[in-house]
Amino acid sequence: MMMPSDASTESAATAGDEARLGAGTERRLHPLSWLFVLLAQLRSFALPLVALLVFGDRGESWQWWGLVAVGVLTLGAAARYFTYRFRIDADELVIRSGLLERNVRHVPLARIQSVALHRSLLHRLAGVAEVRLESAVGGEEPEARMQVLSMADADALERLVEYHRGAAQAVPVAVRGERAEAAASNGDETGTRRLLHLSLLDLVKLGLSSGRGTVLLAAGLGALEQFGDEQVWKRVAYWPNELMDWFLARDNYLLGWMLLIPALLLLATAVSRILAIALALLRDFDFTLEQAGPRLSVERGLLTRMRASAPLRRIQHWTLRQNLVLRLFGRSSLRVETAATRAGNEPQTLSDLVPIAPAGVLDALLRGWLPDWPGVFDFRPLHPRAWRRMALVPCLLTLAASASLTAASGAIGLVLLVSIPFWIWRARRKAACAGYAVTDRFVVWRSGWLDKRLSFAQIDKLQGLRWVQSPFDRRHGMAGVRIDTAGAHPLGHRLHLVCLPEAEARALFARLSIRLAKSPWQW
Amino acid sequence: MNEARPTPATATTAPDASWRFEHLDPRARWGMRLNALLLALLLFGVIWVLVAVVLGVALDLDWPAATAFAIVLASFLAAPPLAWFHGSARWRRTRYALTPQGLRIQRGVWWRSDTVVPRSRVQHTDLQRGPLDRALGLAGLRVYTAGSELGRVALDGLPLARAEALRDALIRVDDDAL
Repeated sequence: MMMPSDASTESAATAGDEARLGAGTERRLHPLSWLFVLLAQLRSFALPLVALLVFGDRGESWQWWGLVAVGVLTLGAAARYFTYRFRIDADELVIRSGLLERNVRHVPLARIQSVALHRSLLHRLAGVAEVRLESAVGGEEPEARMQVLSMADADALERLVEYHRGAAQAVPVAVRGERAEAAASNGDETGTRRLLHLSLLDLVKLGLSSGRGTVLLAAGLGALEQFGDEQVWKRVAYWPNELMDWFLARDNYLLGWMLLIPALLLLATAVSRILAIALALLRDFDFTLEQAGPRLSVERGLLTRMRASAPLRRIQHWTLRQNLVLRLFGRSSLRVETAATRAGNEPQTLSDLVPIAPAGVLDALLRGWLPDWPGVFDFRPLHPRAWRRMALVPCLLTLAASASLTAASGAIGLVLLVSIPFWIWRARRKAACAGYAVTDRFVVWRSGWLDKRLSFAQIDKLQGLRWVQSPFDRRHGMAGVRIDTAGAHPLGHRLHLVCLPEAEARALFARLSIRLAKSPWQW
Repeated sequence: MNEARPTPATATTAPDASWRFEHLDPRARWGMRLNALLLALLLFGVIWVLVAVVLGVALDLDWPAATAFAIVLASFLAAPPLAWFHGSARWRRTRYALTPQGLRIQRGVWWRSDTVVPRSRVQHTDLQRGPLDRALGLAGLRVYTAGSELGRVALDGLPLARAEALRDALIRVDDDAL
């Protein structure tokens, strides 16, 4: 059990709090609860209701409808009050709610990360508070929203949660992790060390390597198409027009086109890269990465200065990236995903931890942050036929496009089939570049051919595993393992290990699930 | 599905027999069949509308109305038996187990998956029962973790007592150290 034996006075106080909250018997919320539920609901209807009352005098039936709506909401609020019950059961909070779709929620008190008390003027007049209990589960809604409890109950609940959380985390993980990281950060825990600063040249390289300018260019052209007038268009299209005239004025019309298209592409690329450099200057000017003890902080920006910080142990997932341009400069970038609770005021802005840095510098940084970071891994290859799966979708799409083009405008549609060898070659390259590695502490997955990415996470910080197999995989004896971390960005480079040999995927799944179960939960 | 082929689970089930995979409540089959039927009807509807649009408008083909009608009718008549078999197959393929590591759930007829939610990662649980569940004595278990893709893992169609036992076994936090 988690009750510390020495704190007898404390547990006596807890017993008092438990008794106050019913100690194992079910309780309802504060009797005025329905009123606050109703008021919260009315707030979202407030504007239409006011409009109804002010402008609704033409047809009187409207006002009646408004009353009916309020009546229904009141009934709903009352039903919620009568169906919402909670009890404190040993070390968990049990909440029963719902009329038709009934739900029983069990939340261990030790897993509650934050207790937020919300009190408006009205709450204070009535001597109540809205209590929001949050665990580490992501999402918009708190895990328990008690609308409303009397102040005495709310305080008792808060103390009880604090007590259980303190007991659960007295020795173990979070503190221990922090201590290890502090030790790893080479001594002076109070001083702030500057780890990285980006020069102007770095920013130019960053801009050149970024695809953001292309997006901006497309968006800008789209906006111009929508809102721009003739004059603006003429000015924007001046150089492309000149180019066109110059090329197409030749005798050889076909040659003109063949030169024009690359020239236009080149122009678009140049413009988008210049935009990207401007963006990089705006966003990352005077980028500074600092470390104070176990806490990392990033400050950047030309006009708007942004500052974000997070403790190292909050980082759940790391992605090293190297695209074609970055590789040309011998640089990489590092992005991280941190787990932020809603109440803990930590915005996700720490994601671009190192926008651009030489590979050696990044490696040194990682070694400083992660004491067990080996740097190099023994990557396992994918299934020998993994390329087939990677070629499947582009080839099918090409076939479909070719077929519909042929049906629409004749044999010229067959020209598209020329691209199939390219897709196959590309798939082979991609399959050869991908791989995974598992050490005692890390899971690593790399993929990408031109745009290489390598993601890793500490095994202790993984949250769940899923083994997956599509019909195609099954026929070829492959399978994948998806590894879940907290705070994952849906568009990020996920730890989705695909196209592994089936037996290997099985073994990895079994091994990781045992490893995960043995490691305590970290937050 | 080819039942003779060893399923992923039987291939690696621990031989110590301290745990084994279980099926959902047999009555959960009905829910799965119903789901499959609704999905099939929706899917056929969308497909035929798309086909009609593509053939009629884009390619300007003129199909005899009677033939088209017969094809559409046949597909809708085929939906219930297809849904029946698919629902049954889905039930057969859905298995769960309480292992020493945590909750294991296998599912999927075509796209198969095997999920493990480690006991030490469970944050909280829900036991959900709609009117139909209550009438049949079933319950749905939802297990929440701090993860993203597996932040909420649902297992519907359990007998109530089993669902409660699973929940109680999963949520004991003092197992943390293991």
